[in-house]
Amino acid sequence: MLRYLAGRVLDLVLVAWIVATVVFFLLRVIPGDPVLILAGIDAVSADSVARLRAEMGLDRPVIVQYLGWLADLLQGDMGTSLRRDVPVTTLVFGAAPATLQIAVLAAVIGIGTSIPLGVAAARAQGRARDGAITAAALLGISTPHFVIALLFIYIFALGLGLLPTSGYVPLTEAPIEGLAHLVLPALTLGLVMAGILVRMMRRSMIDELGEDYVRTARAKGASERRALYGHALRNALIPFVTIAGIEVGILLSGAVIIETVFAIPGLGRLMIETINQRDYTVVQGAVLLSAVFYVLVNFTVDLLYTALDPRVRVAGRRA
Amino acid sequence: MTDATSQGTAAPAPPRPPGLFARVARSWTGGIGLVLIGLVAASALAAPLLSPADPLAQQLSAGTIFQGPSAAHPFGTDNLGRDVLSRVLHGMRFSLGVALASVGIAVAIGLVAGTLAGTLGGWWDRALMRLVDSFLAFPVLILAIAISVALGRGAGGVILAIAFVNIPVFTRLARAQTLKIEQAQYMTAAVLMGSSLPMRILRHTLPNMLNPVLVQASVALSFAVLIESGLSFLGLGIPAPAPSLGLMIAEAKAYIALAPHMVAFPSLAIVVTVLGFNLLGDAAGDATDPRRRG
Amino acid sequence: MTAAAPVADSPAFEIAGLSVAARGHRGETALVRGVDLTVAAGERVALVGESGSGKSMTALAAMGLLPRGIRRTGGEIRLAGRAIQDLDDRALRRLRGDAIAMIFQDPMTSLNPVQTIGRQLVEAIRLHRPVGRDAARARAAELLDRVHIPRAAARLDDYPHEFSGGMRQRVMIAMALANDPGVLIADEPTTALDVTTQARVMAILDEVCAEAGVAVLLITHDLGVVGAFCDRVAVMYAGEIVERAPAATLFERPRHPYTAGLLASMPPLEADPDALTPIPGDPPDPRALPPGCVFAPRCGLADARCRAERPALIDRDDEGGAGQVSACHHADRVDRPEVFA
Repeated sequence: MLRYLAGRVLDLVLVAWIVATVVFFLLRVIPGDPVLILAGIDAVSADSVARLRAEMGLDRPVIVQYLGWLADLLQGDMGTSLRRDVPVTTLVFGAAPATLQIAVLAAVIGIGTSIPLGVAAARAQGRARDGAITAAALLGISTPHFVIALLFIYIFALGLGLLPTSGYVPLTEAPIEGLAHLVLPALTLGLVMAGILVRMMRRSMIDELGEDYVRTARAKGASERRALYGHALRNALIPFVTIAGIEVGILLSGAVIIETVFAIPGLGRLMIETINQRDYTVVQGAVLLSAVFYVLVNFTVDLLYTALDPRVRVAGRRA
Repeated sequence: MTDATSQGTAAPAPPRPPGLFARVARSWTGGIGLVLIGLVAASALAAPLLSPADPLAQQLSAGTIFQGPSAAHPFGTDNLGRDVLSRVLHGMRFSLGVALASVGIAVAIGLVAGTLAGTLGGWWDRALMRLVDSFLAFPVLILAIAISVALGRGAGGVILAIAFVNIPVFTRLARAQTLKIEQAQYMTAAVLMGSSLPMRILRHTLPNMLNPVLVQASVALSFAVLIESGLSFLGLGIPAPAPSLGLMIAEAKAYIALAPHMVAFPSLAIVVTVLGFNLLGDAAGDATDPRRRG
Repeated sequence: MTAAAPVADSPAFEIAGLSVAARGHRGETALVRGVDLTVAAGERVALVGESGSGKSMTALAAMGLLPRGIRRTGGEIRLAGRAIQDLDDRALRRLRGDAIAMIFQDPMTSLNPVQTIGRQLVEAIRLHRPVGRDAARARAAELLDRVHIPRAAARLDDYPHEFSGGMRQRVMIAMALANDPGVLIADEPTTALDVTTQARVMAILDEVCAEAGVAVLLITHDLGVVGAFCDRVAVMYAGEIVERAPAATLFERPRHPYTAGLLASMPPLEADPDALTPIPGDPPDPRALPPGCVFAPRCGLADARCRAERPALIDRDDEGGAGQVSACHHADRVDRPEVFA
């Protein structure tokens, strides 16, 4: 078990390194010299362009820049914003809490609704209730986040005047108001996620209900309810958890759009803002942090998976 | 009882399984999907003919902007007095074009890479799959954003960014199918008959992975339309004033209380397109996998 | 039949006139037609047939466990004289795993992979007996011991994947016998196992069934398993019983050409591969049954009458076989070597 965990942690570090490397080189091929962009704004001389270049280390070979960046990264240094004289870490870690709050709330909504709905659809397979749930889920996965968000804004905020449609208030400052600001963004993300997960849960549950061990449970005299919740459900959750993990990671992608629509100062909006300002060190940091969150979520899912499925535990032990 | 009863003792020959397309069209989800995609494709192709006005033509006056739906402007007009129907039709044309181009590129690269990994095996296989996995470690939209920023704005950047995020899926699929087909009896027969490796790939491997690739392509197309609209919405797609559905919605957001039709119609166009591809993908998945029914 | 007989004298298990049909796109297809079968207390009866003959559907119908889209269209199931086919789900549940138990073909998939063996055994006990967790666990260990699982108590906390196929099937046997059922249905219990494991599992099944005095209905396609284990045999073909006889009589003198064919295609103990004669042809499509005898298209004895008129199950007692019935117009001509000549 310990060895399995150590292996997973090693995997995690490896993926984080690959992600960091991809992020570094991807943003190195961007057309347009960040120094010239900066210089253009500040209208400085060629002399100071060279100085700036040296200051930012852009005059060194790419591989040296890469190693230096990696070394800094290991010490928790993501560099300095090209636009503001602020460390990138300050900006990205300042923005992260808002994104994480929305993601967590959305995950709770998405997972919390999809399990009962998926099970209900599987039980009613082929009947009207199944059809209604499946159709709603299909509509959910076919609608972009921003369309649902604008629909909510139109209905809840403008029409009913019930909930705030933009901005962010830290939960630590004003819990009620903070939560009210989170409701619509989280609901939007959560519903799209539920669309995907309901389909997954239904499929998985239908597969499990056809398995021999469920028939064994019935042959033992177990009730339908017991066969379903006592036996099929946990098995159905095994593939579900994998997809749910991926979807929680994808929530962070959705957050980019949601934060833009609802004007929430999170990681996603920081990313878009700094892209438009060509503040690439910050973009780099924000993309990297998002990817690391994603990898961390998948790591957690692997652990959960191990807890759910005894076969993996043994395979890990023997590996 | 069936009419076969009257045929007496002759064992009825099992009916030849119909092709993927026929099976998809026969299921009601696939049928609706085909109708929706047919409508979308027809509107996109005929956009210049169907559009009542030039999608870029502005008519700036108090009476011509923010008009609701009318006979002259079935989808109304926007903040610059442009005809929304014409813009939606051209936007669909762009979305569909980007989706087809990007998925086409992803399929081509994914098939080559996956088939090679599956056939060559060994070191090549491991290195390639490791690379593919590391790209799967990125949240999709963020990867697409990073790539489209790196490549610069415009249709080319968007197409390549969406193609890129779809390559891993097709590479994995092609590799898995190649390994499966290599195991098949007819492959052994082909090897014994002295068929060369490229010949076997062309004659057997590629044709046999057609159905799973089509299923995946349908899902990838729905995904591509979603990502394209997302990128445009964030202002990372083609630059204004070119009509793109995501960008139209982003611009309309400010006027949502005043002119909700500016948001509603482009949104509907996206949903119908994505829904159509999803229905097709579902039906094709059901048709190719006997375990997935109902 | 014994429908009017007092309950006390009734056989442990009876199937009377059972019919089962599958719903399809164009109406229902009969999979089992008018099957009669009786198993006395402590007796062992085999139901033999090729796959698709309807034998497993007969067993599942008896348990009320038919899969979706397949339903019982007629007939009765009686446990110790009591008709159970129309009981509501709750009452039927009380019988399943208690008065009547079942073991299935594939031990690899029949146990829940994410629960320990102990938990699954304890569940089987506690669903029917008001005992505490500890008492049930003790009983579970005792059951595992009875099917010769070494270190039974210690293995309760293991998961199914930590057991071999043969051991999993023994766990299934232990679970089925947990509440001392009067009737056990064993559906191809050794088919999924390799040959040496098959013999071991059958020996254990034989032993524990004898100890428990349970009436057994053994469903199998393998006549080789039947000889040593069963008292009587019923042969099923295309959804119908075509012959029923005491095991010894059936092996000695089959009175249906299909039975003779099954015997001829049995691998003999002394290797003589030339004597192996497979039955030519395939079973009929249940959607397109021949109008006369269902076996006629594959039968060497078939004539015009066989192709037109469906034979009834007729008592062959007068021909010297006690308790033998078969459905054949030419039962007197059934003789092993000649049937498929």
